[in-house]
Amino acid sequence: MRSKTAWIAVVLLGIGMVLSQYLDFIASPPERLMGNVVRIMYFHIASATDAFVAFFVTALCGVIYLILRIKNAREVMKIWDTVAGASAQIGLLFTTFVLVTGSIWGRAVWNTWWTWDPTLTTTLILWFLYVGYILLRVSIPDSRRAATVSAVYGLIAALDVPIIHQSVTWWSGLHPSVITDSGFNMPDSMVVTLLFSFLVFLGLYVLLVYMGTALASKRAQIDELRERIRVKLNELDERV
Amino acid sequence: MNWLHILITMINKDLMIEYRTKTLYISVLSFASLMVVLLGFSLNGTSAMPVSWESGTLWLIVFISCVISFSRQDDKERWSDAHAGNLIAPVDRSLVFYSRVATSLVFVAAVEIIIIPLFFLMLHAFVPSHLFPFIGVMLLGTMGYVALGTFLASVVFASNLREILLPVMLFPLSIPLFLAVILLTSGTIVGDMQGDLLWWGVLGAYVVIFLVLPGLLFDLLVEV
Repeated sequence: MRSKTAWIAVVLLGIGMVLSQYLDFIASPPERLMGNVVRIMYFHIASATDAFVAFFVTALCGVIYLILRIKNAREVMKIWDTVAGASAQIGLLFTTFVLVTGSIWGRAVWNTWWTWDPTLTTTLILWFLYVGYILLRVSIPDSRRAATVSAVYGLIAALDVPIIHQSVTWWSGLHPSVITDSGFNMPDSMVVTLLFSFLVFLGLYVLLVYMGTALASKRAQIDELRERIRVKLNELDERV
Repeated sequence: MNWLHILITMINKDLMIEYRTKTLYISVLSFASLMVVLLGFSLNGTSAMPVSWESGTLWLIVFISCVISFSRQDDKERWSDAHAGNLIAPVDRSLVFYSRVATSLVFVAAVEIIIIPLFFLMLHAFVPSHLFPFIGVMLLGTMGYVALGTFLASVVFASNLREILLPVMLFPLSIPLFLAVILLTSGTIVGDMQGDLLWWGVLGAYVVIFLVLPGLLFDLLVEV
């Protein structure tokens, strides 16, 4: 994506965001029992979807990186690791947003800031997994090793998340399900708002991952240039 | 030499090193004992701890104490520059992982043999009414935790933050195991083990997954 296309995407997303706010706060009706508190749901569910999508993308990119590494395709494998890293950072941001909005909603509806509900608990654990993943990446000086190790950890974490969710569900359960096998349990006007929020948040995620990847690639190029300059300077020193 | 002989040789090597120094064993044992003592103070020397709290605190002591041994596992190789020696050995690298798991299991079991009776004695806790299922839970739970911990210790090996990063990564991933062992241990204490089949399944599946999967991925970790 070129810079001009990126700007067009930013403008379109901005318009989508404004429209989404209009639908969330003005056009959609209040809920029968919860009243206006229901409006948190549009941000909460859309962020939660992005958080899980980001986690999936991180794990998937890690797996692709590992496969390419085994096949020794050095030229193309670096980008997959960069996308995985960017996706994890954005995922952590969205997971934090899910936890904060969920807590505010829980205080208003369940009269508590926190409860040991399976979905809440799994999301919190997901947050810790993201933190572990990001800390692991930044704390290994060798970028190649960091990429491989974080890909392996991402894979293990992705396999463990469904087990965590299922085991916490067996342990305790309370979270409402607005989307079930029978469809959306809400009026059409709310469904439209929710779907639009999904779309806008997904667009935001894609844009942020793109920008994060571009930034990380530039940073890697700068590091490479810095290393080349250092080598050149050493050579000049030796000649002098 | 077949793979079993190689595995036994590697386990013997690690156990022999630990037997000669004993520093890690004494450190972990002291730390776990201190946790029991501190729990006694924090619970006001209680003799009326609910069973669910009892199994939870017992496993908390085991989980936290074990982390020290995982994070120190690679240190002796790091200090003596023996890491490369392990990697160039003409053996399947997954055997290195399994030898570490076996060594850690022996090590942690040796700590548990002392800590568990101490826990029941000092905190006046209810003794398990079903002893063999209790031993089974302790053994399987420790095995799953040790397998995951050993693997993650290799993951954080090159990290500058490995001491703190290991528990940050290990505890969230071990939540299903933690829930399973707590509920099963409670069942063995009160003697009501109906409906525990589900958690035996979780425990068994967890042990199998984290014994097999790291064995397959270990080669990638140490190759870089």
